[in-house]
Amino acid sequence: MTITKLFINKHVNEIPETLSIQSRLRIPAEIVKESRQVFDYILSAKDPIQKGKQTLYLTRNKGAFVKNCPGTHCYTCCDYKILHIGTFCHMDCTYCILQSYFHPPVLQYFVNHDDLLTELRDVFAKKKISRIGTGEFTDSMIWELWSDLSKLLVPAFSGQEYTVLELKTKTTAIEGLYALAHNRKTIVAWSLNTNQMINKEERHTASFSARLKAAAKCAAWGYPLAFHFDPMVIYEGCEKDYKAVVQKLFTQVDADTIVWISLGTLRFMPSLKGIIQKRFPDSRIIYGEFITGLDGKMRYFKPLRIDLYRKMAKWIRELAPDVLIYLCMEDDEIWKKSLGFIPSDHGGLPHMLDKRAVKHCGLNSEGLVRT
Amino acid sequence: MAFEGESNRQTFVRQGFVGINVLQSIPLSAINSEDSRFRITTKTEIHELVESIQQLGLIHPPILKRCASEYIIISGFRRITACRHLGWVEIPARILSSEISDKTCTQYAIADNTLQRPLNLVEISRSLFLLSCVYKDENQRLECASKLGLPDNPSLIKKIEKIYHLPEPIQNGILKGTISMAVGLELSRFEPDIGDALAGLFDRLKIGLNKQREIILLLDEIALRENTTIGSLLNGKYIREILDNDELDRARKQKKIRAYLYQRRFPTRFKTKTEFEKLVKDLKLGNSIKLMSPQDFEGPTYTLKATFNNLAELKDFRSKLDRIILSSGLQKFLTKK
Repeated sequence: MTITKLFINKHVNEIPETLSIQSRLRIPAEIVKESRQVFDYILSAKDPIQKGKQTLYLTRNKGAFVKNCPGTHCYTCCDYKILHIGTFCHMDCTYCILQSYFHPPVLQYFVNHDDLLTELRDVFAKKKISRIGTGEFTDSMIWELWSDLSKLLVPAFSGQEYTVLELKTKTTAIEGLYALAHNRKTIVAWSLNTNQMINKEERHTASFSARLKAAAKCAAWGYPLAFHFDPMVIYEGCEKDYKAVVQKLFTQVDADTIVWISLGTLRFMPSLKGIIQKRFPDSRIIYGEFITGLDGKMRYFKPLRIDLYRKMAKWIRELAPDVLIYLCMEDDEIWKKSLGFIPSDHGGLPHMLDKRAVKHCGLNSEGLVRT
Repeated sequence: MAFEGESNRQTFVRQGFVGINVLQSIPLSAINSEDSRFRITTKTEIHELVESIQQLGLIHPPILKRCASEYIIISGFRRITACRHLGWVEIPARILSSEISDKTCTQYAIADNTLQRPLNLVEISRSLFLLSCVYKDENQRLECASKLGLPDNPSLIKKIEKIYHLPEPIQNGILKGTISMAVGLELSRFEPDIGDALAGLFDRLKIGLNKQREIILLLDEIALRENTTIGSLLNGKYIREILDNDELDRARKQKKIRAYLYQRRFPTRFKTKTEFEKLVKDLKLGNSIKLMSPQDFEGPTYTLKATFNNLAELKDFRSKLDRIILSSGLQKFLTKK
């Protein structure tokens, strides 16, 4: 999707990152005193979500750059940290939670990178293993088109040995990663889905095969990889399709390059249902057998989730027995019935992932903390 | 100028009627009753009105507009029908000349109705629709609606005016109170025959408003899931059999239809729930012990609740508890793979 409108907050108008993005975008910028002006512009549109995807707002992050992932106590969380580089996304996935998460949703990019680096240095100085990702409130790589974010972040992580960066994407915008000194401290991760889901529900994203090609390239450049089958959607014939995705993955990517694979089925806040019905009336994904989960989100009925997870785990293990598979936001019963163990048997999910990062990314094992 | 204590509507009506010509006697044969463009009332029954006119005469004459060689009715549709029924040949009426605009006629039509009685939702929607035909400016329409005693809240108006476009069976359901305005508007999303069929079903089985919404949602989502139509679901063998079964009363028909739709919408949930219910039934725990599954089988915790009044009942509970613990059915449930 093309950016048609650029707003710049007056406080960041002169900084080099802003000027650089502006010169690459080549569209006139409107300088604003406060965010309200941008929000009003978005909200005045007939479809504010669509408008938010075409409007870029360069500003500063007044809050924390490093945040804890908003997991809930009802389900097992991976204890991942979020590096808050910006918000929203110009791709348009039916199920995207960001449509209802931001009020209004705005493609917002924070350019006060000095503050970001200061916070990162504080994290590194703790000398405790941590995993930080940029793909929670946005797609990690969409900013590559206009910014030098990778050139900033990847080297910053490469020079320390306690924290790993995970760049999570549905794009193929990886060229900027080539030749960067990553020292294996950056994991490049792709969200994977079946061709049917990508074609029907993940608008403006890269195709499945393009994602795999990009992953293989990153592996060739020495980057550790990760894959997230999330959200998996249950539809007629989905099992055959997901099995094919798993098989194709391992024909393109060497299992040894994969740090972890996560599995998660479609879940959404009830408020997203109305948005999907309005924006994507032809989509059927919200009409599965959902129940209200313990965290208030709509989730597939538990036996259905277990069934799909168990099959996925089996297919993955047949081809890559040593790869760590984990479930995103599920409880012990599902872990046990799907994967055959519960995280606490192995020190807890965060510890399992930390250990994996130590092994695959060369982090210092002295930073491991058993939970 | 308004008099003390006078409402906007009263002022409007008092001032508005000043322009109407004096009473004239008009042959009923010259009145075109087919032209119902200004009709607001939903009531068609005239029995009481006929009796009233017979006893007291026509207290409040209709308003007519001259159109070429005939007259169209602005207000008083039922009064004219009643007088025809009584065999009158002529009727006293207030006459508007042919030059009077549709806007003025609309105002007279609405005012003459709102002055006499509170309008029902369908009548309000007709009035609002008539105003929308003559006022292109929304603010002016709202102002006029307010003066005429109609709602002037834009969001409420937006909802009510949709009622005008609903098929008659749905409008009738709203008037009878068997369908709420919200459900009526929801039905307007469907093809008219589907809306009619659902309105008929709700009326026939006297289904409560919350359950109406549940049925609409289930039908809607089943149709989307299965790529079929609500019409074919409603006319499907199973629902038809339930409806045609004379041995079932309304409440049981309603229950069966809802259960069928739930089962079709959530087949796995339904199957699991049914299995658990059977398990509990087979355990024969009686009324003093309740074994409950987690809500939607999502959480990990099952609940066992026992009540007792004496030691004997407590001992009985102990033996039943053993039965529960040893139940292979429950074991399977708890470790189900």
